[in-house]
Formats: sequence, structure tokens, C-alpha cells
Amino acid sequence: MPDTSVKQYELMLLIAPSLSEEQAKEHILSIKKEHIEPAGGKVGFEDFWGRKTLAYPIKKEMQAVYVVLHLEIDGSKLANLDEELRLDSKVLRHLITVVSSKVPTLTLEQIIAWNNEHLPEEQKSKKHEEKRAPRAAKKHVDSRPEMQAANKKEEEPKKVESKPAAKQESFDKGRLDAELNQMLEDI
Amino acid sequence: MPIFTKKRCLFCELRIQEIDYKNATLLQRFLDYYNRIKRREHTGVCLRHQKKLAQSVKRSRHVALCGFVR
Repeated sequence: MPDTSVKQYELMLLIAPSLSEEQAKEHILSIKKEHIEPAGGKVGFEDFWGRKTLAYPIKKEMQAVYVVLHLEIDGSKLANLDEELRLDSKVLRHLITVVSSKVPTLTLEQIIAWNNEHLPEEQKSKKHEEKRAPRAAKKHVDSRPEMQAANKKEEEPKKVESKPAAKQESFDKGRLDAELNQMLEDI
Repeated sequence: MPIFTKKRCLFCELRIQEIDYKNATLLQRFLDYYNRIKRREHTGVCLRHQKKLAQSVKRSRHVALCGFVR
């Protein structure tokens, strides 16, 4: 059942990258004139994001010009606008959402500023999470020296074994030399 | 490893009522390497916000701010 009340709607448009940003702005103006104003809609908030790289290709395009508009429009006329935008080849994709009246919508710059303000805090909270990790890490650290010690123990005996062997060889050589000399003397 | 012990809902802490689908960097924190939504047991998000988060991630995917798969 169509919503007949006048509400605030948010419209996000992805405009084809074949248009330049200025052409995109002109195209938005034409959309407003052709589809929004005849339906008795008003455009309030407007945020032009510019050209952005898409997370995945849409209609074989990897970029699009992003625009966010706020419309004050009769809900029953929204279906028509939706269809018109869908058929518009210059609009790669669009999204219409209801705007919450509780929270003010932020522009892209404000969102980035908000992130810059709050991301360090999130990293802190991540550090809190990482506090648990050192315990596991400590266990690893604990186990590692043991392993290393075990490895050393394994390595050391070999060295100990090899050294006497070398000594024995040298001793043997000395003995052999002495024996040879004795043999030569005997002859 | 999921964190089961202490739940800290980021959105409750920051008093975010509506999760904005336009804030891709924020949403990205709740997606894994394959762009799947992380379980809330993993991130500590409360049920109320997890539902809103899922909705805005789906919107964000539709307008190619987040990917569906990687």
C-alpha cells in the first residue's frame, strides 16, 4: 500500500562516469525538473560527493559520481520516481530511504570528520580487546622458551658428542703417527 | 577468537541511534575479510544495533560502498 504522507526521503544517486562532474550536476537538475518538482517534491539537503571508485563494477563501470539528496515528497509518487530513475541510463543505481527525524544527516565531510574523531577511540576499544590476546600470547611465549630450551638441549648433546669424536680422531691420528714411526724405525 | 566475556556495543557507547549506510569505514569494521557481516558475539554489538547494522550494511552494498564478496 503506497504511503500517502509527506515525509523526508533520502535519495542517493550513482551517476555514470561517462558524464563529467559538471554534466552530472546538470543531469541532477534535469532530474529535479522532470521528476521531482512535477510530483510536488522539494529538495532540501544536497551533498555532492563527486567521483568515487565502486566496491564492485556496476554496468561494467568501476567509478560513479555520488550524489545525496533529501526529498520532501508525497510517498505515493515515490514509486513513479523510482521507476523513472531505474529507466534512466545515466543513473547507474539509486537508493531511496526514509530519513530519521531524530538524527541529523551528515555530509561526506562530516562523516569523515566524525570518523577521524571517533576512530582512535575504536582503536582503543580494540586495544582493550587485545588485552585478552597477550594472555594467549604469553602462553605462546611461555611455550616457546620451553621449546627453544628443548631444542637447545637437543642441539647441545650433539655438539658434545661431536667434539669428543673430533678429539678422538685427533688422538687416533697422533697414535697412528706414533705407530707408523715405530714401524718405520723397526724396519 | 570470538569475545564472549565482556560485551561492549560500540554503537551504545557512542550513542549512535541510526547507523548511517553512507559511513563505509565504520561499517567495514563489522565486516570480515570476505565482506560478510561479523557475528555479534564476535564484535560485542547488542541485538538492537546488530539488526540496524545489518540493514545499513545491505544498503551500503547496494550503492557499492561495501562489497558483497571478496
